[in-house]
Amino acid sequence: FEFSGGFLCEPLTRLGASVTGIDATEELIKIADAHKSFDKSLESLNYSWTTVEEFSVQNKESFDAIVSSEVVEHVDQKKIFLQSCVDCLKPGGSFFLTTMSKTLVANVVGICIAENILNFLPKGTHDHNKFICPHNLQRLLEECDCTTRRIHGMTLNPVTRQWIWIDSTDINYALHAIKNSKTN
Amino acid sequence: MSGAMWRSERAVVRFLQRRIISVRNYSNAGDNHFDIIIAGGGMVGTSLATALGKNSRLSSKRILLLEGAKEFSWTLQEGKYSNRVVALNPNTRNFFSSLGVWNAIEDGRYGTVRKMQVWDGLSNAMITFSHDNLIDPVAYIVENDLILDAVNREAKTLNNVKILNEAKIKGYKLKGHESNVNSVVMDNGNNYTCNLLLGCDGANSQVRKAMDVQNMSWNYDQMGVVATLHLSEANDNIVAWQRFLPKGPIALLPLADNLSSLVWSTSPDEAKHLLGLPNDQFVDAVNGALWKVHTTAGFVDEVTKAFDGFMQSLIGRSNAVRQLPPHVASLEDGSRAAFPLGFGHAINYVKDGVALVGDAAHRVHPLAGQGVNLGFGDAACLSRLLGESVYNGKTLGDLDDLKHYECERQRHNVPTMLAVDGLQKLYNTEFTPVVLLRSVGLQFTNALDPLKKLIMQQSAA
Repeated sequence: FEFSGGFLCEPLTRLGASVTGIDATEELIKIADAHKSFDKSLESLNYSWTTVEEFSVQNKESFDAIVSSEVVEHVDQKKIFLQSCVDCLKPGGSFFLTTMSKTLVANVVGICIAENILNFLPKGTHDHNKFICPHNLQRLLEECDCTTRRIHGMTLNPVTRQWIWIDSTDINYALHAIKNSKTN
Repeated sequence: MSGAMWRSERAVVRFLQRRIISVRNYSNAGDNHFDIIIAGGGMVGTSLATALGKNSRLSSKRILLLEGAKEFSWTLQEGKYSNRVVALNPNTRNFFSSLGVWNAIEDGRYGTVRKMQVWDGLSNAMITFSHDNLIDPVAYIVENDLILDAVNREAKTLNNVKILNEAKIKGYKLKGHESNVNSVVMDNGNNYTCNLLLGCDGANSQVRKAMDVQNMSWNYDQMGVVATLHLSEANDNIVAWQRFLPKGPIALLPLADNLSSLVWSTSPDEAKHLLGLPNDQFVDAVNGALWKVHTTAGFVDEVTKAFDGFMQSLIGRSNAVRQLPPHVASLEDGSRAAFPLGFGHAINYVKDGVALVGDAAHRVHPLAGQGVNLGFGDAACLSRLLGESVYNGKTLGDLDDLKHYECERQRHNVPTMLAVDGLQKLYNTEFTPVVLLRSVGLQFTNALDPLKKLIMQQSAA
């Protein structure tokens, strides 16, 4: 599932995965479709203008992996969103999320600095109230019958503009969970 | 309801739209479309084609090498050497080993430099470079033709590399608003397109001109005179000699036991004069340049002698132990030639979908034997970075990756080029205070083994 015009879907397709990208905003899907047309190797990449809640109805247990990158911090009803994602996942499949943590540091760095000072992102992109701490996300995922395998902190180096892994999960973090198999 | 539009999505849509180029034409991938086109089939271009072709991460990519000259064909003639040679450093040797062509070079022939002696023609100052054991080579002197033959043969064996000879390129249309691929237009009307265009077309690069990139360049007002020389005594020819003269440095590079290659940088007038001399007078001129003692201001001699005495008392041995350069006996007929010398550096090596490699990006004075090594270093770096990029699922020609290449290479190339240019200017004068300073400086550097090791490391990299 992609939010940013295909920046993650495209490399994954090139590496051989069969990828479906969905987004609830029609214009973002249009942009992603346009960008994908530049590269013939991306023909198998599918984009769909829908919400994951609607998508999951027709696509139960269809995917080996789900990626939700910088999405969950924009979602109000997190439990419903996460459950819909997990519904699309085959048992034993992997769920990868990246999001921002609900800490003071993340508020300062992710919003004050990134949006208001350095203008990395347009103002209003993030709402601090919707950030979620790793342990809360882990709890919600457990309620969706997923076991969290790994959580790792990361952040953007403002000087080199490269993402780097860091030990602290106070700003951004990535989480890998596995949907429990039925034969547990 | 989580399906509702996020408040922010309008801003984000606008933000992303700015980043996507709208494209009117999308060129049809067909037989004339390649992932990579390399313009220029010289030593560096052909090595690059071989490196990319053999890179397992790029094995699915189609590569086209365009060379304007006829198909290169060369056979080694016993006893007859070409007058254009290069000094390869150990790093380049490793690069060639990784391409599987070093064996071909070894099976051919090359001179091995185990020691370099460099001295000032206007004073006693001297510096030597070698590894402690005098066994590890400092450089390899190889004929350009031998290198080109070796890499060419290897490139021809690769399935994903196509070589087109007598390919006269009319012009380039680079990736941009109108097209998301580069176009190479040929004189004969053919048109090739590619995702990544690599300019290996030398100091007068047409690719660089098409990129409209600022190029810092100047002429040195010097010509490099080359020739193949027979030495008086056949001995263990493992020393590279270089003497800095007022008009430019003269260097003798070992090819075989009694054979050396001459690279003499001098003024254009002097070069013309040397080319016009009969063989025996030319040999006399070379010997004179190597041996003749120039009159210097008396006190330069005194100061350098005193400094040497001072260093002796510090480090316990004389700094001025010098070997005497060889005597030249005769000249290989027809091996004399001259070429102009200049400096060139492109401010940017890359643009979206295009990169410059080798002399197209940078051109140096031959006095330090670095020029082609920088080019091979570029090729090795680019091949590695492109492999990593494809391994990560990125498109070939992504500006981010090319910028990494530019950054890594400029970090290495620029200091080397500045040092070489600095030396050229430092030794291009007879002005006594400068002669004194550089002589004492040279003596001092010669005494500092750690500093010399650092210099050797930098030039071997």
